[in-house]
Amino acid sequence: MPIRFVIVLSVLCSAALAQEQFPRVETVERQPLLSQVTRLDEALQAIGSPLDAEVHAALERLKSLADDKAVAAEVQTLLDPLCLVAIDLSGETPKVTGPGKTSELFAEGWRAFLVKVVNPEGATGGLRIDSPNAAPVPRSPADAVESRWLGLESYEGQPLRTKLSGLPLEYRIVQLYSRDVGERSATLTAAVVESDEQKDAPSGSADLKFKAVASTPVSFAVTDGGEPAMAAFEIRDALGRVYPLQSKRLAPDFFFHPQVYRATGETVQLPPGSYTVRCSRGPESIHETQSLVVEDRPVTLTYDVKRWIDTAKLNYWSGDHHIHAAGCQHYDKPTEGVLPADMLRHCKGEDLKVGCCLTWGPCFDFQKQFFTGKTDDVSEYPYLLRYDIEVSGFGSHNSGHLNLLKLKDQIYPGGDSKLHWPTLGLNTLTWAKSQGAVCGPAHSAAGLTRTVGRLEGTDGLDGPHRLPNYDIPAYDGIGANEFIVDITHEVPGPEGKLVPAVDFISTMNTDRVAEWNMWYHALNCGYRVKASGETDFPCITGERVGIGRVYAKVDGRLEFDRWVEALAAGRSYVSDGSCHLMNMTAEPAGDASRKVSLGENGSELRTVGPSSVKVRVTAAAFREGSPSLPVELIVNGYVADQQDLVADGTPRDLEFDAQLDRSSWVAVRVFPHAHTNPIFAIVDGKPIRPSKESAEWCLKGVEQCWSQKLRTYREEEREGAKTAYDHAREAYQQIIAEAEPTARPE
Amino acid sequence: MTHALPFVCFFVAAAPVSELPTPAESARRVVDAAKAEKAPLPEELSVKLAASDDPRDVWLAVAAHTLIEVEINPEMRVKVAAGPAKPTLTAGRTMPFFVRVENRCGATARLAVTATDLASNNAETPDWLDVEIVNAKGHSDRLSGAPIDYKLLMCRIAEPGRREVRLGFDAGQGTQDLGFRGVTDILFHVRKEDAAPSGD
Repeated sequence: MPIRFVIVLSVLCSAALAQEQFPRVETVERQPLLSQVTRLDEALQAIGSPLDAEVHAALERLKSLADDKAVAAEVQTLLDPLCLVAIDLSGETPKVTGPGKTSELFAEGWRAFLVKVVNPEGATGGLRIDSPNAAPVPRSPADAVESRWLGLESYEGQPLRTKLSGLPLEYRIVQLYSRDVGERSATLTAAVVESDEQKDAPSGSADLKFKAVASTPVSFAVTDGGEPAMAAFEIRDALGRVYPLQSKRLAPDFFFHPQVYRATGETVQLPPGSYTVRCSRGPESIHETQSLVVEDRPVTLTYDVKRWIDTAKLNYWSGDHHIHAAGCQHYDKPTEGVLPADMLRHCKGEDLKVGCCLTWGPCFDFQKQFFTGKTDDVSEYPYLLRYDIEVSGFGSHNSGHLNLLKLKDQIYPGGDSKLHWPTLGLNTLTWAKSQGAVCGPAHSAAGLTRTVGRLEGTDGLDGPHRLPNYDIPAYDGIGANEFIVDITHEVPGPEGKLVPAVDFISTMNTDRVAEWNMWYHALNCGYRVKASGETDFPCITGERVGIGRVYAKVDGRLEFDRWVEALAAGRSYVSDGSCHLMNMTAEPAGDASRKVSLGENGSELRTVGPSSVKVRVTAAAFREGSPSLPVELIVNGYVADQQDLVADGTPRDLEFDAQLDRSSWVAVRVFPHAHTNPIFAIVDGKPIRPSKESAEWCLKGVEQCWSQKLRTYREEEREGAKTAYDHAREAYQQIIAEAEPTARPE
Repeated sequence: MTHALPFVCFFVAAAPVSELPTPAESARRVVDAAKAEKAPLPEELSVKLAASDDPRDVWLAVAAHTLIEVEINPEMRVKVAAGPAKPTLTAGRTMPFFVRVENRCGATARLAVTATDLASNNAETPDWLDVEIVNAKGHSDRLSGAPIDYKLLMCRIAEPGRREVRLGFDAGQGTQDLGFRGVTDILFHVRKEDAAPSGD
């Protein structure tokens, strides 16, 4: 008999039983009821305990039903069988009704149930569901220890509410945990309270029966290329419920993930049953799904990682220069964020070779202890974790957050925390660069997606994908905003020699057009800023680390300093991991002896007079169905040549031709998945000035940025800010004077 | 293009910038904006405002009648929660509500609101609700950049009854927070016009 049929039959039989037990509500306004039920459905998915697909589909179909009574009846028919209890609030004391059957739990694990609430009087207080069997064991009377076997917790987080809606019918979620194996009973109580502190609210109760199934240890055997490895596993039962229960996770398992990360020899506890397990190890692996049957004996799940590419073997080492161990989706209780070992586990499970874990505003004074100025001790070659700083939530954050990598000292002089930092980003950069740090703005498109106008005379100049475009951003956020000023500056490096204040622009985690457009205009002004890839985990997304990546070329043994130097030198490409653009070179056509490799010797190719240039790259992509992807040669922001790449995972050597009549930058991209850093082709020794309009766009940006950021600079820094902005204005005016009008290729 | 700035040491936290509105000023502005819109204020609020013109009292009165609380974190993620105001409307009448914004990143972007009817097929924008943040002379829908800002939200539902709507807020593309934190679900009680008292 198919499993699905058994489940449906079971639901229907249970329904018949439950409908006899539970009070029914005849009429409820359909709109707010269906909205509440939809939120319940969302909440169950969020905690990894989704409704059965058929129940979900049936609820969706009710949205086409106009009759209030019919909707209320069908909702109860579908959801009552999933309820542990019904709570009737029509009398002075809540009446609690059990399901009339034994409910199944599993030992040392949590299970979610629904609770039906019948509320004809429209109570809007909190609903306190509790049990004497869930009382704490520490400090309990000796004779109560045995009966306190239960863990109980109502789920009232978003998108549910802590208080009752006042609707005559609603459903809530309660989660139960069993300490023991076997048959157990418990008393469940319910009361409506006006505050958490209220002790005297009338309370009703019901005695319930449970059977707790023993959980079984499931071990993992994970190998990648024959070596033991860490991988991601998303474990769901036949009803789609996620294990271990997300809402009860603490690090190293993150509650906002459906997946957990496990290595060979590690375990999870699962009750007997059938499971599907989605196995993966980052974007270079071919994801697979396995079936797992758990009985009452320990079982091993074997996952031998299959890869479509291994860029490390080609000396391209993946990294994410912006991940966090605290703030955003992380908790600050019971610990202030998570620990280095937890972050490393996630990097290893996503096969992310370098994780730059940045301490920022939340939990700053706790997390700062992990900064050592070197690779963290938890690192396991080739997986490197290093703590540095993102200026975010303090200091110059209002003018654009800054990623500061490879710091020697993590705290700005004059204090030991975050409150004394400068408000002008350039002051922060000056300090960071003096110690040899590698720096760039975070989540670049923030503040660049809303526009306040367009550069005059640029109609028809926008390229494919609107790259480049000449709309003037609002500079009203915390991305690459003050960047437009800071790239024009040089500041003293560790030996006092002047170096660019900004090394890179972050890409791959915000609006791709906005972030790449800013980069293109900066390059068109001759500023040799590099692109790097980041996730800003778990802020821009909590899905996983390494969604945005930079693949930096390091020959020989991977070391953090060499990797970050490759990043700063642009010996790298950015990618979402699904597409790779390696070994980029450029040479004058017919003269291989003058070949220049990306990131070597300043990525600079010098030619005399207009030249035909041959550009080569090794490209690989992997997509289901192996479609063709356009690989584009970009010259000064515009598409100059194109080749098609079959996305079957096979690396292919591609050649492009470009005719350069002026100093230019050339790069290769697959929009929006990957982009190489540029090679700079210098014709007759002249600076790169291919677009007067790009410089005008930047100058407009300085003015707009000043209008937005002036107020964010502390009074004593304003004079310095004015000087910094004036310098940028002069720099762009000089470039405008030197530049040629944009020549968009046909 | 060489310009090196010397190190500067700062020993104090970032001071409030003088030209930004204080919370009390922002609260006053939002009340003035509601009056300019000729929107009927809830009676309880009207009484409080009539009783005292002290800026702090006005601020407290507005705070108590906030329908939505928005928090924009330093990473510019917009988080939303229901405020203390009762979500009560009169059928067919456009009514004002206040949105309190705690702006921890100093953003000056436009604050946008979106509405979703979860009870509709494909979670559509409800055709039974008009909702907007007022953008008029003297009251912009753009954030001031001040740590505390108030915005005026106008709502109208034509038919009486109870209607639940999901309101989402953002301060630009991609700024809505993750995991339902960028939205809140409000159950409006919509009275018949002839059954409605003069205020809340």
